Amino acid sequence: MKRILIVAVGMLFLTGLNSCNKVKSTSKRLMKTGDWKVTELSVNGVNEEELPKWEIDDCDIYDESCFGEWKNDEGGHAEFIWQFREKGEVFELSYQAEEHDHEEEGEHDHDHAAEEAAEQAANFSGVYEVEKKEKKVMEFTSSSTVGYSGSRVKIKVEKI
Amino acid sequence: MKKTVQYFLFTGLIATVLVSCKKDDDLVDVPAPDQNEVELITTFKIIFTDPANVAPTVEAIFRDEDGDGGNAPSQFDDIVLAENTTYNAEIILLNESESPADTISNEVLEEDGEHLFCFTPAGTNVIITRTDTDGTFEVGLQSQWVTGAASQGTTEISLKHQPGVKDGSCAPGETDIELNFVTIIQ
Repeated sequence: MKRILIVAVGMLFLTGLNSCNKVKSTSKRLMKTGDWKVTELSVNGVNEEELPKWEIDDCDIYDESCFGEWKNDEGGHAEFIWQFREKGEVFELSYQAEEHDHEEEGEHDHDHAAEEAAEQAANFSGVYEVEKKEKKVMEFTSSSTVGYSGSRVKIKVEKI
Repeated sequence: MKKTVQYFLFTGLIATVLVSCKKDDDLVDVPAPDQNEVELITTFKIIFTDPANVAPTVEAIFRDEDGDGGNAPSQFDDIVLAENTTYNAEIILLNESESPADTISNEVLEEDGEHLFCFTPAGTNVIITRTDTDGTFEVGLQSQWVTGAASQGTTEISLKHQPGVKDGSCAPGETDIELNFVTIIQ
C-alpha cells in the first residue's frame, strides 16, 4: 500500500511537472539540436525559392531573449528572436536588425545575401500556431505575419 | 498520525509543483520585429550613344523618389531614338534618397551572376541585344539597340533577381524593377 502511494505521488509529481513545463521542454527541443533546415517556407501553399537554415542558440527562456540565426545558401544571415508559449502551442518569431557601422562598412559595401536573409526573416516574423513539435520536425502556421498578413504562412523545420 | 504526515507531505508536494510551475507571464517579452530596410531604387537611367557619333546621345530617365508605391513618379521620359541607327545602351540604377546617391547598378554588376535585364519591345521597330555577360549568361546593363523605320510603341524593361536559378531566360526569379517606356523611333 505504501509503495503504491509513493508511486502514485511520484507519478502525480512528474505529470504536474511535465504539464507545467511544456513551454520549456518544447523550447529545449528546438534549441538543443542547434541547426535546423527550413524545408517549407510557404505563403498560401507557394514555397519560397530560397529555403534558409536556422541556427538556434542555447538560452534560458525565462531569463533572456532567445536568438536564432536565419542563414541562406549565399552566406547571408539575419538575427531573430523566438519564443514558445501557451504550453508550447504558440511560437513567435521576431526579426531583429543587426546594428551596422556604415562608416566602417563603406557606402557601397552592401551585402545582398544578408539583405535577402533579413527580408525573409522580417516578412516571416509573426505569431504562429504550433502544428507539429516532434524531435526532428516542427511545423508552424500563421495568417498574421509581417509580410503576408491575411495569407496562410507555413514554416516547416527539420533537424540537420 | 502517520496518515496526517502523509497527507501533509502529499499536499506540500502538490503545492511545490504548482508554485514552481513557470507561467507565460514569467517569459521574457519578445520585442516587436524590426522593420527591414529594403534597398531602394529611386532612379532608372538608360543612356544611348551612337558609336558612329552621328546621332546625338539620348537619355531616358524614370525617377520615383520614394520608390515603388507612395507618391507618383516625378519623371518618366519617353525613349526617343533616330530611325535606322545602332545605339549602345547603358543602364544606371540609383538610390537618390541617400547623399551622395548610391549607385545600385554597381551592386547589380558585382552580382551579375544573379541578375538579368529583360527587354520586351512592342509596336516599335527596334531589336535589342544584351552585350555584356556574367561569364556564362548575359546581364543587360549594356545592350545594343538597332532601330528600323519610324514607329511608336513601348519597351518593357525589367530587372530579374535570380540567385541560384539564373538560366539565361527571364522566367525564374523575382522582379526588382519593371518599367514600360513609351518608345518613339523617328
